[in-house]
Amino acid sequence: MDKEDFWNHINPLQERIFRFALSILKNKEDAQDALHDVVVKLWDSKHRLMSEKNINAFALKTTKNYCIDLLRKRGEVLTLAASHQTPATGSSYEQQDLIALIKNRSHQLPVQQRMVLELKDFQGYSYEEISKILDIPIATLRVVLSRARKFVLKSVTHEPG
Amino acid sequence: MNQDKFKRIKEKFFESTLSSEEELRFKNLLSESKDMDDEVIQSYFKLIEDGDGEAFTPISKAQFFAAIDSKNRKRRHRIFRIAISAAAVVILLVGYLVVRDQQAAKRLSQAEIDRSLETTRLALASFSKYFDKGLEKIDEGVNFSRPFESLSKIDVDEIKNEK
Repeated sequence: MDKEDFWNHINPLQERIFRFALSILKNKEDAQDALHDVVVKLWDSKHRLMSEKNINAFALKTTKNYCIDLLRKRGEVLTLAASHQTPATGSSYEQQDLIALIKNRSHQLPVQQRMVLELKDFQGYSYEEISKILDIPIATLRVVLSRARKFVLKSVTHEPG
Repeated sequence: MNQDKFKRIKEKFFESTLSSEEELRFKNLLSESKDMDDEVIQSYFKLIEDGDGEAFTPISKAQFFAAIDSKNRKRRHRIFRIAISAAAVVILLVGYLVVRDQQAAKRLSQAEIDRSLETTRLALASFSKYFDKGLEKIDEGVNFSRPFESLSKIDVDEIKNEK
């Protein structure tokens, strides 16, 4: 695979890689750096990339590993439980306020739930594909997604006015 | 659709057991609901549809090619540095052992020691020239596995003549 071929395969995936990195790192600049580094990493594994049936899934799996390593190096604790912060509340919300609240809540999710939410709801991957990317059984994925949706949406819904 | 059925489909959404068709139906039903709980879910779907508003800067083809070339060049130079350091260590070690063995066998004259050192210097100069040639070929873009010729082709006479 030469540089040109590789570029033609990877170029269309740039935005997906960026969005996924952003969902894990929660910072635009970090996600932009991750995009650059992941593309170079993918070039280093180009022989493996060619033998993969699903290049898309392979690219996102590489992104996940890169971002998790980065968080670990920074000493961030990757907890499974959601944080207990509560966003500002109110009895009546405009839609923009609700969207801001939802974004705020989704940033409080533990990294695994953020990844599943991003891949399933925002990027529209199937459970089978997500299972391959994250190495998680489908049944577990459903549980993780369910927890994430409840945390993000029900916490906003059921907060006192 | 009655309220119970809507409630059930909403539960399935939170349990993550909706099929894609059911999810589509759920979105349509949501748009008709005025319930506060449902407004939150509607906003969630709107966020998914519109994106989070974080614009990204894609990597250009030129940037990617430059990054790859720079990475390859750095790797070649790193390997080259390791190779030349290893060669220097080996040559010096061999030179030292030769001199030491000769000293053990007999006491060397100053002339013999000078000759031995000269031979070692000559070997180092030959290696240096050998690596220089290889490095030039690398910079010219030769495939990295082939820039260095066989060691048997080192032209010691050429080095002697230069001196």
